[in-house]
Amino acid sequence: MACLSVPGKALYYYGERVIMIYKEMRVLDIVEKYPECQEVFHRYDEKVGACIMCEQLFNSLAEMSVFYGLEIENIISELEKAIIKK
Amino acid sequence: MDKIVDARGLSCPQPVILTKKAMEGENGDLLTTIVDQTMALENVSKLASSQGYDYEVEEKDNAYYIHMSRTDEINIEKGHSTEDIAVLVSSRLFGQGDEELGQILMNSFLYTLNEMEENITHLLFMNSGIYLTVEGSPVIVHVKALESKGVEILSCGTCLDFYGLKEKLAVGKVTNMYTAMEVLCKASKTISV
Repeated sequence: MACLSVPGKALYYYGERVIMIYKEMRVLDIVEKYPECQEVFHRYDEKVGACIMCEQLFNSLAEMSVFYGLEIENIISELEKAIIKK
Repeated sequence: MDKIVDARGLSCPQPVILTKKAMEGENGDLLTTIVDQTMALENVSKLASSQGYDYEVEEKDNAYYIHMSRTDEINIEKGHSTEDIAVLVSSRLFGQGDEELGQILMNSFLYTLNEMEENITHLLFMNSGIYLTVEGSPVIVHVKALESKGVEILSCGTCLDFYGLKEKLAVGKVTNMYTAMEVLCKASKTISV
């Protein structure tokens, strides 16, 4: 589709940035909707030394980021990149 | 006959996702999920509670059998879902305390309102709550999503004037105290944050 474009890491539709991941989404809702995001969380497991999808499954992305001291914008960007890549 | 979800050998989030799908499918009122990891047991139990299920855990053959049944309580709640709900937001932050946490919670609150299937009819923004409906609001996307679902978004005109933001209103309409009170009094339920 001509109206769909992927400049850099974000998805655009008729020039409007499409938001796929909100920081208020629960980890469970993200991996249920986008199974390809599990890979991203696994990568972060190594950084934080814990299983994010075990311990933070019912928390929002924002709560999870605060808990582990992670940069939420980076996580969102990586999650969206994984979705686009699929 | 219980629906069976055999999630042995699977790690989180799979047992939870499979159980959630089973709950949402046909005959999802009675189901048993079998897991063999304690973390999966903990998370499936948490899911059961959050979805209005009673559950019992049976340990046998090196596995946990989580027997779940939907309680009447949730059916009663479902019956109430047709009632009109008006939400009054009188601050740009959720609760008192840390500013950053207040913003995170307000974001979560409005996102969750979008996800709920309750019959929310009005969102009233008063005092500093009007900062959430003007240009630059960190939650504007959620408020607009609610508006697109038919929720009426009303911001207090006196408050917009007071903060000098009347020209910056980005979603919904301007209202006054009379209309606001009318909305709150007519609603079957009100939520105030």
